[in-house]
Amino acid sequence: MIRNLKGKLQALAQPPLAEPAPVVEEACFVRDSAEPLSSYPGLLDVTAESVRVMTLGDSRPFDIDRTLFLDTETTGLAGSGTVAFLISVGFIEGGKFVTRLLLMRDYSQEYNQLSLLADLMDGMDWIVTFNGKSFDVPLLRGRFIMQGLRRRWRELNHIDLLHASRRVWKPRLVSCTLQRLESELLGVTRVDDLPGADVPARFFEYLKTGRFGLLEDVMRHNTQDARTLARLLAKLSRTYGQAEEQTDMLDVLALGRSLYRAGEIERARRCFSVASVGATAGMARVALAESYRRGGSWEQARGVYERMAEYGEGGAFPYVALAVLAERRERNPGKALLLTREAMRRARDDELPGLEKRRERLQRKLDMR
Amino acid sequence: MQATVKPSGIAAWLAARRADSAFMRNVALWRVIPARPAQTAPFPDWLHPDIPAALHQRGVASPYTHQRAALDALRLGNHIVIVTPTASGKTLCYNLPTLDAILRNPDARALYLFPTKALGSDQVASLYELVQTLGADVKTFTYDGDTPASARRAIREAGHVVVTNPDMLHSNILPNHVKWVKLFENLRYVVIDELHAYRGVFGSNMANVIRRLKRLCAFYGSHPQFICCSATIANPRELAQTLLEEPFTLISDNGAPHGERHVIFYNPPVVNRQLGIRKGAVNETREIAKSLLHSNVSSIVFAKSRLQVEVLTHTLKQQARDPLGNSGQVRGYRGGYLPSERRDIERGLRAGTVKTVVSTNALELGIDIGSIESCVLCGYPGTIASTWQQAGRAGRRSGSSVTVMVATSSPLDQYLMAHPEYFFDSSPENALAQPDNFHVLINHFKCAAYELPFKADERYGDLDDTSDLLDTLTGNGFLRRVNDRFHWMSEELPSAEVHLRVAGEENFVIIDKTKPDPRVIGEMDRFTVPMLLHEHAIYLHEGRQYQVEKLDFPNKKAFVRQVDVDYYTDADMATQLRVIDEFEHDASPLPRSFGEVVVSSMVTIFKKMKLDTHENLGHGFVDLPETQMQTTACWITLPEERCAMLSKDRLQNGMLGVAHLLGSLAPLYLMCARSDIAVHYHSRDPFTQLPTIYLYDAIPGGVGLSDKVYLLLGALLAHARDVIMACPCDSGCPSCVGPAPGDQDAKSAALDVLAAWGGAVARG
Repeated sequence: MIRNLKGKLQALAQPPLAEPAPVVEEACFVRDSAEPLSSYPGLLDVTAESVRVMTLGDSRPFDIDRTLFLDTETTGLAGSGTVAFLISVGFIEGGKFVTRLLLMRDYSQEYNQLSLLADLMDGMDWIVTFNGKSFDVPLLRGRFIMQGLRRRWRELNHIDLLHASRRVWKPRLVSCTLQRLESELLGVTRVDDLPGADVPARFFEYLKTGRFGLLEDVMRHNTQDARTLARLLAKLSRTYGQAEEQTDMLDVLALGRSLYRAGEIERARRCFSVASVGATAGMARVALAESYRRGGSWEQARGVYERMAEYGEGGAFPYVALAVLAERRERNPGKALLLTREAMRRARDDELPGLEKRRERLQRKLDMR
Repeated sequence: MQATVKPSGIAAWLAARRADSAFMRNVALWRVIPARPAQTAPFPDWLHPDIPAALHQRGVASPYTHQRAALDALRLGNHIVIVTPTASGKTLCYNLPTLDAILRNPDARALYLFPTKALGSDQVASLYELVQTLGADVKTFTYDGDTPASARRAIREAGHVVVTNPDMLHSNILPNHVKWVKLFENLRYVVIDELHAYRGVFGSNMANVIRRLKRLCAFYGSHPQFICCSATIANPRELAQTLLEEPFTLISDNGAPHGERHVIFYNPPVVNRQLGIRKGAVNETREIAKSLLHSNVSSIVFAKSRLQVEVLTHTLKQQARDPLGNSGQVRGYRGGYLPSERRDIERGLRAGTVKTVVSTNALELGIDIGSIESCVLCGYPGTIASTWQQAGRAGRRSGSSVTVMVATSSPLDQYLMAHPEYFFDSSPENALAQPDNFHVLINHFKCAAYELPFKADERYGDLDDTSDLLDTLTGNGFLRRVNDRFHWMSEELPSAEVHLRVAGEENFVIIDKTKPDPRVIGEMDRFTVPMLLHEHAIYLHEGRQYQVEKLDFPNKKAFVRQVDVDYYTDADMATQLRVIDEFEHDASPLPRSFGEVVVSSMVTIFKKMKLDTHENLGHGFVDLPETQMQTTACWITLPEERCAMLSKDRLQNGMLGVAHLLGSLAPLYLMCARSDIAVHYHSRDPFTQLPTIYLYDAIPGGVGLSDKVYLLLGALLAHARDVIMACPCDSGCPSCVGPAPGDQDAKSAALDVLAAWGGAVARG
């Protein structure tokens, strides 16, 4: 037992900020808003093919009418004590894009909130999120368990736009937050937006005071996030469809890499070829040559390396690559040695020790003949 | 060169000692514990038939009696705690029921908790071997801070046996329990090995982690059985019941065989009777270790401090150097070494390339180092329990082994040399933990509230009524009450603020700058750092000397450079104590109190001591922040009228002597380690306004030792008086009141102080 428990607790007690707000009923707060599909250009054109590429190979059938866009606002970072007090979902219904807010106004409404989400998920095959693979979906799965709703949870096919967007735009934009993608790619500027980091404190303040108005910002912010998900999916799909036509070569190169990983080798090579100009030329040619080399097309790979050497791109790299081809494919250590010497003339200091070893090895190989 | 393996000379070594009258003169006790054969029982018929078959293949014909007893008790649905010495096959006591459960039901899960990572990895290896022999699909995974993120998901989903430590359970698994549904729903057994390690504040925290674990199991509908294993302590069943708050069946009848065992108490000879000075225990230990090494007897030498380990390693390595200068036969081993370095030493021991290991009690826990023939203890380890545990390192299933305990001049050591029967007749110490330590409890209660909302009428541990706690946390804005539930209402992740061990988390790294590439050579907990890693300290590592050039306290880094000097450094810790709450007070017959205190410690000065003679070569200053600890204490005051009769110096000396002696003797009464209880005295105390001696729990929050002192004080003081009167020295020595300062008679001063309490002392 604890000696003098009451006294010790009294020492810890703080005066309450305000009387806690009274508890409201068990049904959660729901608010729908609809926009014409014309506000979502290209959304209906998203195809299974583009989904396959942006998920790096998930080729299950895709139907935009059975796709749920989802974003949550939570009381903190992931963990069993964190609650998704606000869930925004977007979906197409009756020729419109509907955004539905599921807000628990108090902890007692979570069961109802999750049940309503489950009802919606029942009619869906795909879920689209931003960082939902690591955050929203595991969190919700946990909430369903905590509320005794495990049987109602469904694992939907998942498009996580954070990963898909990073693959395409990270080289150019560096940071790929949802807000940054919105302003850079979709031309949306948010006015008086509530910073995400302030959201939990805002919700707790609402719980303490009962002033519902405190949540208006949060709901607006969350609705906007759900809408952006739909626009971003359409934008990604269009961008993949016109990969080589992008104006920024960093985008073309990144799309090429992404297509390559999704197994679209020919389209990837077209992107690499297009991006083989200006600042991206070196990287694009390396990617192109690598794609040939890995595919066993030595001649094409050599062609690209030779062009790089000719244009002085990539420093020592093309010479090293050519030396490797000369040694392994052409079985010509003499040529490999000459190329290695050329590489050493162009090498950075940190590359030299490795090249020196290569040179010695080739020299020994020649001496043994 | 072909290494010739010399036969072990343990029989010859023992015979030579017996014949050596100079050695035998110092032997206070030589006891031979006869060999004992194995006691076995058949496998129970309900056990899955694949298991006995696999064990037969591995050379186990039938289980030891204690293994069988464990299986039978579990079959009845009991929780069990197994107390058996090192190397008695306790691992099978939990692996067999676990495997049986999984073979019958592939969904069944088990959670294995080990206090350290190293122990966990050893046990995984042995379970894995058995699973291989079984050819069964039983997945065993270690889940700790080193587990890669990519593997974690598979472990959560598919791991049958999850091996982890309490820290990981607390900070990672429990707060994320929804990711561990499979484990929690199907949890069949929870294994807690090295139960005795969970004492003091670590134990208090562990008890609360278990409360949280049980709460979640109830939520998921599982009712795991607990299997605990403990080294020999006085109260294994009580400790298990304190930590787990369930009834336990004790399995203590060890059926494992052991060879003949010699126990020798060695008391170094007196070199100055007036001053009560004996030959140094460290030097005597070194001589004994050296003779064992020369007889080709493998040995483990336990020293009490890291410093002693390093000094002994250094000198023994010089003895063992071969013509090529290699001295790898002798290795140091202690907590501050890096894991890879420790694994290397453990392998060397098993392979026999390492002959002598000098260790702190880091090896006390059950890491598998194979069989060692001899054990030398430099000083009494402080408790009967850890003495047997360290001695248990030397001991084999067949063949002789020997343990030599070399006494220091401390009162406790000398008491044992004078009364060796105490060691063999008394029960070992109690391991204490206080699950209801207020600070510990409230921290974990918050974690529990985060993990699962509390219901208004819910119990927590042995608290039937949690409403005061819930209301306070609601008032402070951590919880929100909705109907009859309290929901977590903060962004804070409460487990992130709570560390289970006081020291463990915030280790400092030690960086060697001798070579152009700085290299991390070790680490140290923050409470030890001010003592050993202050600037200009000589830090010893694997027998090499390093000087600390810079201590970056905020960033927890110490930069050292290798040096070669003939001295070591020894820092002085200045301690202050302040009463914050007095729980109980008794004016007569002994004016004593019990309450809460704050102890602040600060290292301000260090001495340079010559390596061989230990003479003082000078000193330096240390500028480091102080550390604070809140704990419980018992204090006794000297009556005003009595002080008036003593001169200031005499009072001071008397208090010093009595305090020294009380601190040394208290562990005998409290059944605790010497380091668990501390003493402090003020000749005029700011709180009591009187000369005051404090005995306090040297463990944050306290674990109940001072409570006991409060009750036993009379007996303790009487014992102190008897020791002083019986000591043959003239005016005070290390074995009674400590060395007398100047020409003072410390003994009679101490007796004067004791006389102040008059009859109350005699009634002890």
